[in-house]
Amino acid sequence: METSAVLELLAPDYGRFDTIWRHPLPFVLWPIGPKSLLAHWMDEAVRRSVSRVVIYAPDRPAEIRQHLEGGHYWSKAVEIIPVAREGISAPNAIRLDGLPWSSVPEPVSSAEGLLQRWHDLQAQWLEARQSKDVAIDVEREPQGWVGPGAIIHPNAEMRPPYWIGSRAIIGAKCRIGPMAIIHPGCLLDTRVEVKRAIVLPDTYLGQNTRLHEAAAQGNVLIDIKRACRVDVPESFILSSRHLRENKPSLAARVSALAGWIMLAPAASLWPGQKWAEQSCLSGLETITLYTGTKGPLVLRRWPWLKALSAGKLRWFGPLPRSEKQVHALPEDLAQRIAEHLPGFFSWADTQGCYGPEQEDEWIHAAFQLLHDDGSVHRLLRRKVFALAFTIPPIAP
Amino acid sequence: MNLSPEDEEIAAYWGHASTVRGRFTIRLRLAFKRFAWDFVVGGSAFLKRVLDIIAAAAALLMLSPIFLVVALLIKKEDGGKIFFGQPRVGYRGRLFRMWKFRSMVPNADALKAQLLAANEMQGGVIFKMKNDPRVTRIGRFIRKYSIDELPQFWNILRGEMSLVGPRPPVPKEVAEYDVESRQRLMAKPGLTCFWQVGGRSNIDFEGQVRLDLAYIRSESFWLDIFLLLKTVPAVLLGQGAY
Repeated sequence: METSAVLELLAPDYGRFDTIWRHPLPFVLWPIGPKSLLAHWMDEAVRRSVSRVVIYAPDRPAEIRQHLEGGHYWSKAVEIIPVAREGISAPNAIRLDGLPWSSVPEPVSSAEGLLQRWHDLQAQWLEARQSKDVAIDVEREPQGWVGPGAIIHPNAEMRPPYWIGSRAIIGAKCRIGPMAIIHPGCLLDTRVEVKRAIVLPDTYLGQNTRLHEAAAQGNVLIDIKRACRVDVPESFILSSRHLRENKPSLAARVSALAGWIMLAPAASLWPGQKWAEQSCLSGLETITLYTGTKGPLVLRRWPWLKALSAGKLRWFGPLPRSEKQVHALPEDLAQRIAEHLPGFFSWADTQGCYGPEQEDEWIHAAFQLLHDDGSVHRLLRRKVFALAFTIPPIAP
Repeated sequence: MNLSPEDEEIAAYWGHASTVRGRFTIRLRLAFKRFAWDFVVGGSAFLKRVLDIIAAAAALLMLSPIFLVVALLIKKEDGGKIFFGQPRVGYRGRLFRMWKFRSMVPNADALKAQLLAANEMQGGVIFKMKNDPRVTRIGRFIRKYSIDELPQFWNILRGEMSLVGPRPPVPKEVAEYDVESRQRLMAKPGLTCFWQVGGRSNIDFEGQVRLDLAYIRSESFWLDIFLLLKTVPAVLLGQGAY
């Protein structure tokens, strides 16, 4: 066994090549089988019995730090050093371009190359998997692994090598493999074919769909061969298994409908009320919203409640904006805005920006999208009554 | 062009999906499928948490007289602290403080180094010995009947532990685990599991890891109920506890 006191790793800066998938995490945190590429290297650190792991991270070091959670799982002291450019500060570090047991491949130099590298690493991981006495997954047949709680229909055709993650459901007449990686919580409906492809966690693949040399995550389809991305609008073809992801819950929609009915007299009879029409993006479609010019915020946005009850808005999200306003934003933010449903209340409202035409509003929208994990929503919920009855100084 | 029956079926499906009525029925089916997943697969995890909360809250309430008596006895014996909070490694390696009634002398950790040669656990990862001189008189009794573990209901209520799951190891033990053994950290730690019900401390480390992984593989709400029922006689008979 190779022993050394410190294992130095260099996370390559592939963020600039990630123009197709636009993954929120750096390449080293992309999943290779059940764990990230970096986690495979942390396992290697355990095998090499090193006492400390130093990671030079030119791309999103905060995400890497968060992912490793102090390295407690591996019982290793982990130091993450943000560096401006790869190579300049870590001449002795191992570049995380491949898996620990494979030869070091050439660095990636294009967006297509990045996707292909990721796909190749999946295949390498699956081929190198060996039967182990002590393992959570069960080897159903040679080179065919199934995680705990996974359900496979007896009529499904399984062709090794494949890996099915925990609590995944494989429907009747599905053809899985060879080289299929189905992550935990996936739901594959009847007659789905997955060949040399990856289905990422909690993804629903609809009936009669085929996934060849591709990856699916939520409603995003990544074609590895053609190096392109498709956002599938129809949930019954490809979507996230979580109903509530980017969609208002049934309770939110019912409460919005109740609010729309109850506020109808006050909103329509408010003295001097005029309704301004605006065309806005709501996910992948364009909707028309009317906004009042008088009264408190909840009455000005009263017509939005109807859109919310129809599932076109969320209670909390960035303010609705037109396609033109979206495209005027920095590219990263424009992409994020386009992928999320707008909200009835936004973080920008709490900061005194009631419309996307206001100069600083986009900064608050960016903040809200970066923290779209519930923390901002919790803050907003506390202020909801105060916000509802705020009278904006200018017509939003 | 001749289509196979399967291709015809697929063509008919997509033809159906292109109509408004077709899309409605397919979406309805999708909603049902998602509900079925939540109910069949996800429901077990939800029920497990519900069981943890109800059982831990009820146990803390009902056992409060025992807590009081034990606390008084510990305090009377050597005047030291009643509770002992030890850092443990939880789900996915997250550290947390696991609470117990103190059953050892106040300077037990300092004395451990002198006793390492007498470790009776095979494999050397876990330290256990019968007739450990650091255990107090009250400590011996509360350990035999696992009363010292009762404050862990508080950890369960906080969500750091579950009623059933692999026992949470101390960080020093985990540091000696190999990659395979670390997989036991992939479940929320618990009060009881397969090996506590089977032979408790008499099972060697390798056996414990195998049983913990077997639990993770077959984890379900009903298995938890079964293991909880099996734990009661194991605790009352004091099997393998020392």
